[in-house]
Amino acid sequence: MGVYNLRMRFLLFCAIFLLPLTAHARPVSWPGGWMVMLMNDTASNGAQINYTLTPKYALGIQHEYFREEKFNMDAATLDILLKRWNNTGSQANLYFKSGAGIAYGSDDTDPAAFAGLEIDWEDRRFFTLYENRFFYAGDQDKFIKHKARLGVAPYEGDYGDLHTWIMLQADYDAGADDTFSLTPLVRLFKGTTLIEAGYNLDGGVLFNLTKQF
Amino acid sequence: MKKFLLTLAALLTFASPAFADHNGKTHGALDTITVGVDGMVCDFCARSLEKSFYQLENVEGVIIDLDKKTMALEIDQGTQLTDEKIKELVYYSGYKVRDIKR
Repeated sequence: MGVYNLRMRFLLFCAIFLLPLTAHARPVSWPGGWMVMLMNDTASNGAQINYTLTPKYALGIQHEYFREEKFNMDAATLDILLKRWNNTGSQANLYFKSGAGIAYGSDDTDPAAFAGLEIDWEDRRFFTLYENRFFYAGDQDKFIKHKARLGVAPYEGDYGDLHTWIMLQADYDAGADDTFSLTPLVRLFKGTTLIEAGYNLDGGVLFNLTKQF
Repeated sequence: MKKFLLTLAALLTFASPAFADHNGKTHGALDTITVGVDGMVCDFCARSLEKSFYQLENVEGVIIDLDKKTMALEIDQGTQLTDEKIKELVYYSGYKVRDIKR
């Protein structure tokens, strides 16, 4: 079996069993840039491919599988950088993230849409993020989720080094069985590849992978 | 002796300060422009600067310094890269120019 097949099987494994993700990397990169994101958390597994049209707009397609409710969603996505604050030692961003498509379970198909805001701030040592997501999929599911993150980098790596962040993610979903949950995680990135892995205190796995092209 | 002189002449002829860049292209001397970039705190995100500036024909090197928040641009000597173009590409990459030193 070739390396390529092994790698594809690993990615497929991650996509199916590990990922109920929301995208954690910034959804807009540079004009002409492509991003592939695999996202897995305690609720869903997802994958997104997007293309950045301008410094503020990115279009993409996203697939997500919600494990508990057992339905899939396919959507076209539009992410917008509403505002960026560039300071000498820090950067902050405000994004609008959205998508529209269909949700389908074993019995029926419904229109689906989601939208939310993400705001983040970081310097080379600290990272904070807040994100919400309003999700509607007819009879399949409806929810409003909130997510917050705090992160700290144990060292300041140079350009090209392996960068490491220790983060704590808090999730709140009033309609879920576990309304509030905490997930410690590690973010690693080098070059154009970013990986996040964590373990929810309620027993779920978080795994995110982002690759820029 | 004649062979030695011919060899020496050949060496002097071809031992110009030319070198190969990241694409294997051979170049002569370079000028360096140092650009202060605000917002450049993340290695993963700063890749956009490389992607943007390497699209220019005369840019042979993009050296990011996260400590100093600067980007050194190495361009072919004798070619132009205006402040306006630098500011435009830095903006397209998601950042803001603080200053430009030539």
